[in-house]
Amino acid sequence: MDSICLGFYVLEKKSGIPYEIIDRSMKFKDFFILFLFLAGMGSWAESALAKSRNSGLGPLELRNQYPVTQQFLSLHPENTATQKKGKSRFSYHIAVANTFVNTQGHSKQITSKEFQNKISESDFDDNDPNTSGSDDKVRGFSLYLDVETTRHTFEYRFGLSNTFEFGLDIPFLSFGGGMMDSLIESVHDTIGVSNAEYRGAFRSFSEKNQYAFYVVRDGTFLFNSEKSFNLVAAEPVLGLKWNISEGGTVLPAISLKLAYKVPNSNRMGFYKLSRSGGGDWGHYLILSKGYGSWLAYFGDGLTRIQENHNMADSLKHRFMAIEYRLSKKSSILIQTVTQSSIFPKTHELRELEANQEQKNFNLVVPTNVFMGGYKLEWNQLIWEMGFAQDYANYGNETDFVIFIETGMQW
Amino acid sequence: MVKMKTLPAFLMIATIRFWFLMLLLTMLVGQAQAIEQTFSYLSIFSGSQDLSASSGALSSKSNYFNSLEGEHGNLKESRKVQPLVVGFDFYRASGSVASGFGIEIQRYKKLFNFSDGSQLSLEALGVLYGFNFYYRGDFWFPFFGFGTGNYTSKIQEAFYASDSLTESTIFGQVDTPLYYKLGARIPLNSWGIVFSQQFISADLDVASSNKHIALGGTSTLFGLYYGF
Repeated sequence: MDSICLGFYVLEKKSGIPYEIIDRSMKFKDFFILFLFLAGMGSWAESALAKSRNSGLGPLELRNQYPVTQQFLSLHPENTATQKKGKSRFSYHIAVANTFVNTQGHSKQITSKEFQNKISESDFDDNDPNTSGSDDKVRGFSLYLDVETTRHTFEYRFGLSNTFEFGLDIPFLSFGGGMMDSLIESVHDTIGVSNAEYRGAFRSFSEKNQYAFYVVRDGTFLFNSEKSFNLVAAEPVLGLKWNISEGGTVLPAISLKLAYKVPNSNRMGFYKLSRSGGGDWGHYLILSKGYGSWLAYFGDGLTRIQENHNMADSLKHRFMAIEYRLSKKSSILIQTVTQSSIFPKTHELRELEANQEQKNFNLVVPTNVFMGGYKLEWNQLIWEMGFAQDYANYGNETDFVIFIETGMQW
Repeated sequence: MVKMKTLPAFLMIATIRFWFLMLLLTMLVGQAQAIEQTFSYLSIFSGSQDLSASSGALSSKSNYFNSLEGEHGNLKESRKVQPLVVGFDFYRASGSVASGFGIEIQRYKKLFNFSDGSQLSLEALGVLYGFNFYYRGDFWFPFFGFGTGNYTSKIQEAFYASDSLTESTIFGQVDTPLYYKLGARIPLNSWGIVFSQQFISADLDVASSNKHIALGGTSTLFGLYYGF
C-alpha cells in the first residue's frame, strides 16, 4: 500500500503539483482500475501458469556445422536445467553435415572441368568484359565448398552443485566428399528445385561426393585444400552453466552458459581447418517456460573469436525451440537457430553493377536453420536425434545436417 | 511516512477497499485454479500488410522507398503486400484466462513499378515468435501478444539511370524485429475463425544504397484455425 501511494507522490512531485490536490483527485474509480489491473495481472499469471514445469528434456543440442566455422568455438542451444550436485552425464554426439557452395555458379566459372584441372585464384575473378587485370579481383569473399563434415564429440557434464554444472567437450573432425550429395539432389528434384540454378546451389555443375575446400578473400586464397582428413582431434571446450532460477508461475527459468575453447597452436596442414589456435570464449543466456506438456525455450549468446584468421571476430547466436512432452521420458522438438555470418563485411557495397562481388555479398548476412528432432531419457540412458536444414540459402550455412547423441547419466 | 500523517482518512478507506477487493479476487482465482487445460491452435491467415504504415508504438526508420521515389518517380502501386501466414500457438488456460507461446511463419512477394519504368521486387520470409495472453469468453477469445523473431529478404532492383539499366540483387536479414498484436478467435467446435492486427518493426539495411526498408508495418489478417 505504501509503495503504491509513494509512486503517485513521486510521480506528481516531479511535475510540481501539490500533494493535497493529487490526493483529492485520486478518486476511488482510478484507484480501482489501477488495482484491478495489477491484481488481475498477478492473479492471471498465478492461476494460468500454476504447476507448469519450466524445463523439459531441453532443446536440440547441435552446434554450427559449417565447414569454415568448425575450427572455432560456436555455442549451441542447451537446456536451462543443470545436472544436480554429484550427478554425471557422459555422451557421444555425431553430426554429419553436407555443404555445397559455388559462388562462381552463375557464370559457370567453376565446374567439374575446372576442378579436374586444379582450381586457381583466377577462377574466382570477375568475368565482367568491361574490366581487366587487377580490376577483375573480387572484393570480399568467394567460395567453392563441396564438403561433408563429420564431427564426433565426447561430452561430459558434472553437477558441481544443484545449480552449477561443469562441462567438457572433446571433438574429432572428419572432412571429405561424403555420400549425401545424391540424396540431396534427388530431394531437390522431387520438390522442383533445379540443381543447375541458385536455389539448387549449382550442384549439378560438380561431381557428386567430391571434396573441395576453397575460401577466397579479396581475390586471394585463405584456404585451399582438396585433401580430405579423418578423425582429427580438434580443440577441447570447457563449459560452466549456472541455473540462475528455475522460474515460477510467472517468470521463466533462466540459465547462463559460459564456454572456453582451449587453444592448440599446432595448425600445420589440414589442422588449420580443424583448429583455430585461439582461446575462444562465449556465453549463452537461456530462458525456458512450460505450459503443461508444451515448453518454449529462447536463447541469446555471443562467441568471441581470438584468432579469427581473417574471418569474423565474433559470432552472435540466437535460438527458439518448442518442445512437446510425449511422456516424462520423451519429447519431440522443433527449433530455429540464427547465427551471424563467419564472413565479415569487408567494405560497403556501393556500386549497383550486377557483378560477382554483388552476388557474393549475401555471404555476410546472418544464417538461419530449422531443426527438428526427438529426445529420450530412459532410466540412465539418453538418446537424441534430429536434423537441421538451412532455409535462407545464402551460402554461409551448411545445407543439411543429421545428428545423433547417445550416452548415460548417473 | 509523511503521507500517512497528511492523509489518514484516505488511506484507511483505501485499505478497507483494498482488502475487500483482494478477498473478492482471491475467491475468484481460487475457483479459476480448479480447472487447468492446455490448448493448441494451428492457424492459417492472409490479409493486407501495409509496409508504409506506422508499426504502432514501435519505432521504424524506413527511408528506402522515399529515396527511390525521389530518383525514379512515384510508385504505381501502394506499399501494401498480401502475406500468407501459418501460425502455431499453445497455451495453458485456467478458467477464463490463459497465457502461452506462439510461432508464425509469414511470406510475401510483390513487384513495385516506378514511373520511369524502374522495377523493384521484394520478397520476405518472417519467423515471429513470442508470448500470447488470452481471455476465454463464451463466444470469443480476445488475445494480446508480443515477441521477436527474424526476417530474411531478397530485393531485386532494376533501375533506369541516364539510358542505362542497372540490376542488382540484395539479400538481407533483420535479426531483431519486434512485434505486438491484438486479435480474437471465434471458436466453432474444433475449427474457428481468427482475426488480428499486428504491428511489426523490422527495418532492413539495403546494402546497395545504405537505406532502410520496412519489412513489417501494420498487418490486418483474417483466417481459420484448428484447435486441439
